[in-house]
Amino acid sequence: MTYRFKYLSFIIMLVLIFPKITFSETLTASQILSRVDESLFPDGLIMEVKMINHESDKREKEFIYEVKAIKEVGTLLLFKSPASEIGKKFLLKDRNIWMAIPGVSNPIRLSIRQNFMNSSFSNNDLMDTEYNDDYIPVLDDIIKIEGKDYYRIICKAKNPKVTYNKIIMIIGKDNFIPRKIEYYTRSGKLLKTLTLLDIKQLAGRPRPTKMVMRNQMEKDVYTTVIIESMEEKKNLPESIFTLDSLRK
Amino acid sequence: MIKVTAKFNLLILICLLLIPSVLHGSNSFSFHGNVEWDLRINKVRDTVLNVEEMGLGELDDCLWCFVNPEITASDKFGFYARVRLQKPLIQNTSASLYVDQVYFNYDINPQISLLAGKKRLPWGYSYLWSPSLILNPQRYVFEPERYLEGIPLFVLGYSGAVTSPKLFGAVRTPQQKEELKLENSYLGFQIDRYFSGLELFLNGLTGYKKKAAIGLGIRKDVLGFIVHIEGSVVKNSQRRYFHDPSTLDEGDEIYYIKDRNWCTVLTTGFNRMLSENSLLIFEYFYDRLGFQGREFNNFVNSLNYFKDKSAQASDEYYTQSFSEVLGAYTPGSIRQNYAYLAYSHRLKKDWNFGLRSLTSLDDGSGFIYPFISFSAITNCLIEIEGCVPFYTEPNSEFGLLPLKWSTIMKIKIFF
Repeated sequence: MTYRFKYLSFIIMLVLIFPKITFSETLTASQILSRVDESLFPDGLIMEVKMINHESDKREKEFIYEVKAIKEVGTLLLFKSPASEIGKKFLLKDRNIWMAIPGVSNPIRLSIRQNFMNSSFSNNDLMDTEYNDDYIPVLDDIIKIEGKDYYRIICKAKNPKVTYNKIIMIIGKDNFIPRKIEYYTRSGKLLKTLTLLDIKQLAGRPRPTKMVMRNQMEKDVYTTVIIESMEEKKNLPESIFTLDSLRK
Repeated sequence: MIKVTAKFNLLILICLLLIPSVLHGSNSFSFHGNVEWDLRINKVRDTVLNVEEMGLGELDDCLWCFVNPEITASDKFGFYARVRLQKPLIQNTSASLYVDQVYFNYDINPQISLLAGKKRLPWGYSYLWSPSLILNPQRYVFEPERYLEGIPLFVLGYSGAVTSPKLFGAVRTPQQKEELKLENSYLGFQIDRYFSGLELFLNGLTGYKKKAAIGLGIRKDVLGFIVHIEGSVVKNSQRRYFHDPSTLDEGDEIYYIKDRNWCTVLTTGFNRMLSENSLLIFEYFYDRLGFQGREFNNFVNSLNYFKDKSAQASDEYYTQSFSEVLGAYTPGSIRQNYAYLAYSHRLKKDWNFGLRSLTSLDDGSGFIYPFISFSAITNCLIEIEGCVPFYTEPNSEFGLLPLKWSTIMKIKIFF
């Protein structure tokens, strides 16, 4: 009885002193991925994003757009700059994407694999970051980079409709923010690398505010996405994520 | 000097622009659009239609200005307009101002809104034709995004998470004329629904007296092909067909009107990403009211006959008759069956290439419209386009065009 009591006291003490270590060690890969989803974006949001396409000849093209999103409902993008793109809208719902262009009568439904605005991102990269929905994660290793612990998680596609066959993520063990994400083709070839930088306080918690996507096929061409502002919005009406809203 | 083609439109626009200044809580005004200069070199040829009748010169140009003012006053009011200014520089004719669209939107509550003014009723899934909605002015097939004239209407809409039903009243204004008559007015509804990747819509409308139409559309991703089918049946459709001119005496009616009890209009097609940078669009169009063989022959014979007669004697009957037959020549919507094909491809370094093609399946004539564009400078787009009609015989639909080919250079500046 005394032995059991001492053992239990020791366990309780460990839990109280090292709560983070105790809990995080027991997290499954799927749970880690859920925390990644939370660390990147809140469930409902409005944010303003600047996207810069860096061309091979050092030229840059800059776009500014507003994003409205509700998790598991949809994502809506509205372009504000440059003038040639004003009024252009994108809607992502389930695994479908629609594009509305001012002057074109009907929203055009597109493949999710298409490049987004000639950038290194696909439409899906920017609009759907809920990896747990589309991939089966496996905790591969815990590694140390610059003195910090990181999870190395390998995600394999649940179905062939998703953009990438395999994704490898390096995720901060303390804050669940990905440091680097590698995207692989069906043949196992590395296609793109996303680096997440500049962690700042956004919508109530630390989040990465800068993302750099490099296409391995074109080394000098890359795209930077900067989150200029982000506001958590839990009460966005679902009606804005309909085709009807694109036609307005 | 500016010629204002629809003065009451301009008046509405000015009123709408002034309203926010008297409303409390006016919070944003945006003013964007583009200026465009087009230079066209046309290689013309002789057909029954001469270049003057089609408004073609060997060297044409036009300065365009499209302005889209938007005003939001408080969270509930929004005012929108699309204004088009045209000024041919080489011909130095007067500038024309068109208010293609001008309307306001009022959100009664987060779900229910009211829209009124002059606007196109957006509906359906097709690219070039809109069979399920017969009210909008027909698109200009050579440049479908150029002229976007709306119609006078009101729309009472409900915005829901799964469906957005609407009730509307509208006045059809064919040939871009303001005909606010009761017999041109319609009442209708629209319902759309999205579930499990399938898009569905239904719309119905009924007009004054006997006119009525019901339309249905479906769109779905099928193995990477985004496929759509859209059709409608129109009750008591009417269309003018021309008599054989050799059977006519001077003063006779040159056309007759066929009433069809239920008439079918249909489009079906798909788009497909061929690679990350290229998109293919195909669409087929069927209009049961379109001219068939003998009806089209009568139309072409009427063109030839009344042109010759009006040239021989300046009789008002022949001149007026020729004008009426010419008015029925609407390439891209005069016959029964058409195929539309569009391909676009992003090349490296700000270059885009593409082509559009429209073929009349009834006689094999059509046109190819290739283009290449360059967009390295922010808010500037330079395009070189071509238009080459192809035809099986001179009296075919596109063979009637007095054009061997056309080259167009466009410079667009966005603001």
